[in-house]
Amino acid sequence: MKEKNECIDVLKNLCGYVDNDLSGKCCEEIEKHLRECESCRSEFENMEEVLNLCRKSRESLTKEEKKRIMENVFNRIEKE
Amino acid sequence: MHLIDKELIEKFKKKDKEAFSEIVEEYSDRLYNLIYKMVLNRDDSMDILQNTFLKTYKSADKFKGESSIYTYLAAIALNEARERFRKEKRFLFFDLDIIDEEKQIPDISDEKEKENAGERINFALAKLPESFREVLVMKDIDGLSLKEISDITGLSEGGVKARLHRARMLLKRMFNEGKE
Repeated sequence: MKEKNECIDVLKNLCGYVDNDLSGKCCEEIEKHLRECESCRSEFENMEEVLNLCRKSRESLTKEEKKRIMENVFNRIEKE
Repeated sequence: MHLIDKELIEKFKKKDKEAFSEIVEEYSDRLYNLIYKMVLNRDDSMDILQNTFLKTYKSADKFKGESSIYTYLAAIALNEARERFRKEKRFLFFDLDIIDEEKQIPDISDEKEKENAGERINFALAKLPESFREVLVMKDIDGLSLKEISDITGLSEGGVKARLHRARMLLKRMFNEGKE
C-alpha cells in the first residue's frame, strides 16, 4: 500500500519534475523512486518522449506565404 | 536573429510602419507555429496570423511594455483564435484528415523523423479539449514560461500548472492510443 501511495505522489509531481520546478529533496526522492519502480519509470520515459516530440514539432510558412501575409497586413493598414 | 530593442518598441508604439515590419519579420514564423498548433488548420492559421498582426498594429499605442512584445502578440493571437471559432460555432479546430481514425500514425524511425513527429503530435493534439491544448501548446511547443502563460490566459500560475499537468497526461494517453 505504501508503494502504491508513493507511485501516486510521484505521478502527481511528474510535470513539476520534468519542468525542474521542484525542490532538490523532492527531485531526489522522485529519482530514487524512478530507479526502483518500473511502472513509474515507464510513465516518465513516455512523458519525456511525447514532450520531446512536441519540442521538435514545427510548422512553418513558405517565403511566399510570409510575403503574402505581410503584404495583406500592410494593404489593410493602408485601407483602414 | 534580429534584436527587438527598446528603441524599436518605442517606434512601434507610435505606429511606425518600419518598426512594425521588423516585428512582423521577427515573429511571424514562431507565431504561425503557435497558432497552427492551436487550430491545426493551415488556412485558418494564416488568417488568424494576419488578423493578429493587424490588431497588434492598431492597438500599438496601448502596448505598455509590461510584458514582452511576443507575449503581447501571443495574447492577441489566442483571442483571435477563440473569437473566430466561437463566432463560427466551430468546436473542432482541426482539419478532418488529421483526425481520421483509420489513418495510421506514422513511424518516426525513418529519416523524415522531424516531419512525422509533427504529424503524430498534431494527431494527439487534435483530440485535446481547447483549453488544455492552449496551455500545452504555449508551454511545450512554443516554450513560453508559466508566468507568461498566466499573463496571457488570466489563469493563476497554479491554475496553469494544474491544467498543464492534466493536458500532458491526456496528450500522452492520446498519443499512446494512436500507437496501438
